[in-house]
Amino acid sequence: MVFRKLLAATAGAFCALAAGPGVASPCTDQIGALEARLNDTATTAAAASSGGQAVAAAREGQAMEARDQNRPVSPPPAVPFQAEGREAQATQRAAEAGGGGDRVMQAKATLNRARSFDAQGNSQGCMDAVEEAKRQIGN
Amino acid sequence: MSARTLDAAPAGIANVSRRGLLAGIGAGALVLAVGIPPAAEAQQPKGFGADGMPNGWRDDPKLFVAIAEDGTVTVTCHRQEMGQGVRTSIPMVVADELEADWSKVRVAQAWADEGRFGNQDTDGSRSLRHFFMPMRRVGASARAMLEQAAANQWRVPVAQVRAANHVVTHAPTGRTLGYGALAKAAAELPVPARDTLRLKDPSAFRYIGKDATGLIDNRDITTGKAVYGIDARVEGTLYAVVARPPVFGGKAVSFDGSEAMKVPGVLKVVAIDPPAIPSEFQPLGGVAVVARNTHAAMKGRDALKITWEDGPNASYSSDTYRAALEEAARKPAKVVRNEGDVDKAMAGAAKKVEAEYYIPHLAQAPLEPPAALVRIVDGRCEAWACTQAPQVTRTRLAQRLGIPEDRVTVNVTLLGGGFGRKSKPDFVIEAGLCSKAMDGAPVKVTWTREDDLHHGFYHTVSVERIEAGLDASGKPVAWLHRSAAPTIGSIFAADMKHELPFELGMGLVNTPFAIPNIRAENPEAQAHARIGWFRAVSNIPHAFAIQSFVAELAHAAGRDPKDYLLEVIGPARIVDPVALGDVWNHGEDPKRYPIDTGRLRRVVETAAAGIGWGRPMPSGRGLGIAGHYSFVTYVAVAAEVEVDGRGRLSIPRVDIAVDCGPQVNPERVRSQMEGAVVMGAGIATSAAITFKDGRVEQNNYDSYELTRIDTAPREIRVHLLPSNDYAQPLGGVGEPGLPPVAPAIANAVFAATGKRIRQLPIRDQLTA
Repeated sequence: MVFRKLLAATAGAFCALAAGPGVASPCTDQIGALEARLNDTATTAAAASSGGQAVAAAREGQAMEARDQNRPVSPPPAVPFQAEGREAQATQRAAEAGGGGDRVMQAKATLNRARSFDAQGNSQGCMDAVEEAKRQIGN
Repeated sequence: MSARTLDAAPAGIANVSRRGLLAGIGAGALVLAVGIPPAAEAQQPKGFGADGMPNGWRDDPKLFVAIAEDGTVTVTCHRQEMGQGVRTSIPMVVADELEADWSKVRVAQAWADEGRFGNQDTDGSRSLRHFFMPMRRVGASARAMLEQAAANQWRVPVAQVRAANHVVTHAPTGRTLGYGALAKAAAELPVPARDTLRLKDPSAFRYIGKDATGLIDNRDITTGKAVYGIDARVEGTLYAVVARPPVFGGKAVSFDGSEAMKVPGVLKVVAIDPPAIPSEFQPLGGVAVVARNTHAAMKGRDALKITWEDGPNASYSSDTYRAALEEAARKPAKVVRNEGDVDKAMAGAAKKVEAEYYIPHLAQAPLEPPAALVRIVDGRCEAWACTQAPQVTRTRLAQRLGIPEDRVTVNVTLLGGGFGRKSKPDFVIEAGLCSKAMDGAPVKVTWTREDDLHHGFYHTVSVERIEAGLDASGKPVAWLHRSAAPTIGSIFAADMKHELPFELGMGLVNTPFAIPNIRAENPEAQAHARIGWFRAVSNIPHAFAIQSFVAELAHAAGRDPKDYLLEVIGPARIVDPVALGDVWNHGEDPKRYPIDTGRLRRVVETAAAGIGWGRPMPSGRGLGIAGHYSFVTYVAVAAEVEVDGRGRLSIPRVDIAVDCGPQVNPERVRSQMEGAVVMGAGIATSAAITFKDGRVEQNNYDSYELTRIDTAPREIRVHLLPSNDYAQPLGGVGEPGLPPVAPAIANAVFAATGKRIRQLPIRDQLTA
């Protein structure tokens, strides 16, 4: 938790620097808030996916597919690496973590685009990108 | 490899069935593990690393350690041995903490039971990364129980006794008791709580971090006693081979087995249904021939008359598919990493460089092809298989055969190589279906080399396009990388057309370069073959492209490639992988496993120093370098190549430097690095799987060329970066040596000849 707060604080500090002294915009604040959330979801995705190639591939594949098709993960899991219910739960957790993290990656990339706009003083471009990132992550 | 009857296999040699293990221990022995202890409470997969794996980990000594009356310690290894030495390294960790005399340690192979042993799926370069600490606790717990048993017997405070080298000593009086004499009493004691355990100070390690321990299976392997999957045999074994659809997604629409049945020794022809989609680990379907011996089964298969329907991948061709990938890589695509403003920086760059790299399908091609033996007796199924994934093998066998899982036993043999192929249990299920068709008789299904190359789970094929903008000094200010490759996810989700986050986290999105504007994109790529993981997985194409391109940039900038690589890596710093957009991080906690560019720099510098970077080279010789971070380990390779006047390539020397954190078994780390260099040389120079009309064009090692003795690097020097702080996290070892090998060789070829290699394998590109 301490680390996550640190990340959020670091991200916030970076945002402030990127935007230039004294020019923190409403978009800067939104970037900071969304970034903290994305970072938290990213670490959840890492844990939910797992370090095994077989498990990661099965969970992420199903999670991404479910997210792309805007539906819950269909039980049973593709491969019951453990008790079916438990593996289905794990896959669902991966899906909830931005479609196995896929949406988080995209949203982080979009958020960085917002950051560039913000640094350029393009507030509309920044807000549009923030909104796009929010849509990517699902709200 | 020798044929060997499993029923006669002595316990603890190379592999042992569950029944054999228990019988062996019970034969006149008093044991720490009495009978079958209750399964430890399952760990909830709630965290990172081993905590996040199905069925987690166990550290109950009663599950892993048995001590016989004569003092023989049997350690059960729950990870699978495929040449990486895990059957030595895991027991070594236990033995060290146990203060066992290694000469009295035996190893038993665990059967499939993750409820009992914790996660057994041996992939991801994580056996020691995930189980070093649990196995230390196993040994420390057992040691504490022996000490307590001695203290009880002597009626002295436990603080006055110490276990060392298989003996417990009462310091004030000098009394001693051997482990065998204490085993029974120790077994009756409760397992100490984790927080009371006294782990050894690393300075007291006897085996961990030392080079003193040889492979436990060496003698059996070299004398032919070791049992591999292909050796498995029980009384009454029948033998089968399978004719599978030549095109992935195809099926047999009809067949005539009458001629096959006329082959002497053939007993039955068995239809196997095609898989449902997504196909995951299911058999491909087809027609099996069961016979009294493998030769008859093969002859019978040759006599089958089968009408195949090739299905949706009938027109899959490597040439046209490459063009499709190239087209995809030249268009904007899904953005998976973005920092700064690449387009703006690119537009303002003093110089622009772009390149495309092509990496073909590969086959794991283990020396031992897939093989499995299954029998079904009285409603119980028993299998012997060279599987990396025993638990999922058990589950899938149970489901396909309609037998409750608790009536299915999977015994694991040694694996004659795995490289990811043997994570998939399709071949075991085939044997199960054949056994079922033969009323439960034991049937061994053998894959020929041709079967393995024609019907595999192939490493993906990839086009990697990179563009960079350089400033006036030649420094990169913009970097755009598009990676187009069909995904492993396609075997688990039918419509999956993008690489999965874990594939992108293998050297694409998490490349820690100090470039202010970076974008990574991932175009769609439809899979037309069965894609599976291969040693190091997506790190292979990503590292090849990125490390080749850095060298191209160095050339464009007129700079030394090593210095340029270090400049692109940037100063030593700790990088949060999440900040780069990596949402996988090998399943590890980003806080515990950040990316340390200082470590990456050090391996590059070490490899360069090792090979004598910068020394004058004669005509036709050149040095190349590459560094890559994967499986939370840092590896750099410096290669020296020679290209003669006829374009023939040889590799006089390779220096490989590795920083995998604390080393448990340095001899094995060196061995894995050497193996990676040899395998990587094959990927660089000769290996490729190609498709035409949906069919694999290679048949055997004559056309799928692995590194041969005359093409292997003549000298390999491994540099282990020292790390003796065992509180630090361990990195992987089995896979991370591979990715930087091919680009280092390709870069050396450029240095030697001026010819840039952008397509693997090199093959005859130097003679053209």
